[in-house]
Amino acid sequence: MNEIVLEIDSLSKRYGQIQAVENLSLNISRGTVCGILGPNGSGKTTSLSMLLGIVRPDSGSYSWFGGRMNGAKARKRIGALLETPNFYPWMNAEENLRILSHIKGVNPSLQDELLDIVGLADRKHSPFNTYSLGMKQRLALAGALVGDPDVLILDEPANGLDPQGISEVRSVVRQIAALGKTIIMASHILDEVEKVCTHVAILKKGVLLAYGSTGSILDNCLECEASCDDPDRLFAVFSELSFIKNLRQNGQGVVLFEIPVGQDPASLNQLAFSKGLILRQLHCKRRSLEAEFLKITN
Amino acid sequence: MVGRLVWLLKLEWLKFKNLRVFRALAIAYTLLLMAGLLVFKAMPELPGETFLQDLFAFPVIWKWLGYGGNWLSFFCLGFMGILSVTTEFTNRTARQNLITGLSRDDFLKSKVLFLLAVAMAATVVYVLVGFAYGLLHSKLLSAALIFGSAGPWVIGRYFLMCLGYLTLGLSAGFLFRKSGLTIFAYIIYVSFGELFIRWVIHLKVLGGGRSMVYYPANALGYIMPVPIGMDELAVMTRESGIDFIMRPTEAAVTVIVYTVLMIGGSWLLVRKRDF
Repeated sequence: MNEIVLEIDSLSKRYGQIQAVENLSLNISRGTVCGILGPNGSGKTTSLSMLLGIVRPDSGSYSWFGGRMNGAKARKRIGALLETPNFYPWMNAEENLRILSHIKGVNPSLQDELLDIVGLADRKHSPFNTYSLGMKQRLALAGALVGDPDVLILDEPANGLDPQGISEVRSVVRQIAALGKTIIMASHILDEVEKVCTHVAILKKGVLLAYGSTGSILDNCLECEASCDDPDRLFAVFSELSFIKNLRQNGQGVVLFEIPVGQDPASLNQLAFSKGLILRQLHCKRRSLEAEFLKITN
Repeated sequence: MVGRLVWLLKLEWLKFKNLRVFRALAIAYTLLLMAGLLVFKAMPELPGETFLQDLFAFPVIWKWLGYGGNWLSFFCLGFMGILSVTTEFTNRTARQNLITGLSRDDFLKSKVLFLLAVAMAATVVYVLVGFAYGLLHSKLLSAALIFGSAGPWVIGRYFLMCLGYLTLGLSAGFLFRKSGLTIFAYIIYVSFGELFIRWVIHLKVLGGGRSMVYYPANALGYIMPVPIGMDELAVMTRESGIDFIMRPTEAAVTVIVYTVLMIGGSWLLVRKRDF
């Protein structure tokens, strides 16, 4: 688990006036399922493109598999779906996967199994240009799995998929993660990332704002709300507690605040009662990744 | 080493064997090379003009077939060279090839190998059609007569011409990446652009002399030139001060140099640019 699969050191890329990625440094261990989050234009795809050798970084470096292999050799051990599915439109699914197998130097006879996994076995003889966007995305996922890669890079894997397809992608990602493979996944669907990823990296305007285990990013505080007959007095009581952060009122008689994980909310109820305040509600919940993402990126 | 080359060649074969436009260009090249000269059969002979009589016989057939092949190579092989690259960028399969594990160098090598194979195949067609016409129309046969004074080198020149057009298309493809734009630029350059550069910029503006002949499309034109009137034209041009006619061997050497330069330029583009 602790073996570093990907080491990124101060990677930067500029397109004209736009700094697409700035000094990105990151280590990803084997078996990690890393979600890369960021608004549009935050540098997610550029970062992944540099790691896959199709975009030249202006500065910085990266190494795969502890530097044991790099360049094309390393990429043969990586499966990737980057942006749009890229296949030869005049070929069918089988012929397209055959080319990927040829490049990776693996037996193409395993293709049928992959097409089965992504639900394209029935259409394997249809030309790629007759596929719907969802089918193209499924084929791209099958393509990324050719050669049983050690690392899977997925850029918006649920793009264009129907709810069933999204659920299937999630299931495939979980199956692969369960095998101990490393997965790096850029996605806009935060719920998806929260459900699947062990680690999260948050980018904005090419800068890495946060990186850590999903738990560490989500679990460092609880969001709470409390109400009683005298919210102003409750506000005053809570404002004396140093561990309470971001204390405010919403204007409808509800006091909002954050407490560290580990702080028992029952103690707040007890304190309020001792001050003669009877709480009508006290509700604490872990902050969602979406809330954390919005907080970090704004 | 050989196994790796075969592996790269097979990769290109897997990609393009079923591409309709490639098939159409290959078929058009073969059929037109086979049938194109038959147009002359339908022509009436002009008084005093005898070239139509032995047009299909050895060794003249190589020149006429080579001249016809020059036009076909400009279109069919040039377009194949272009499409072998631009289809990869238009469909973004070039980047997918790299992502999957192909190196940038191998990407270019596979293209060059594929074009070498196409040039060889095109030359084989030329040789087979030439022999077929020659054997059917020559009264006397001898080894010396088959290729005439030029010898079998004419086949080598034909191969270089095919490779030259393919490489010109390939390098234009790497430069422009988009099929329509590249085909437009290729046709404009070969048809008018280079003439303008040679006669206006090189000769008039820069005051260059005979060096204005050493341009790729010009050399490709003279490597398999029009079979009649070249000697007379050469004398006339020499008398006028500038000898702008290239001899076939001179053209062949120029084509070799440009082929190497164009592959080198493509290599730089593949190495430096993002995919």
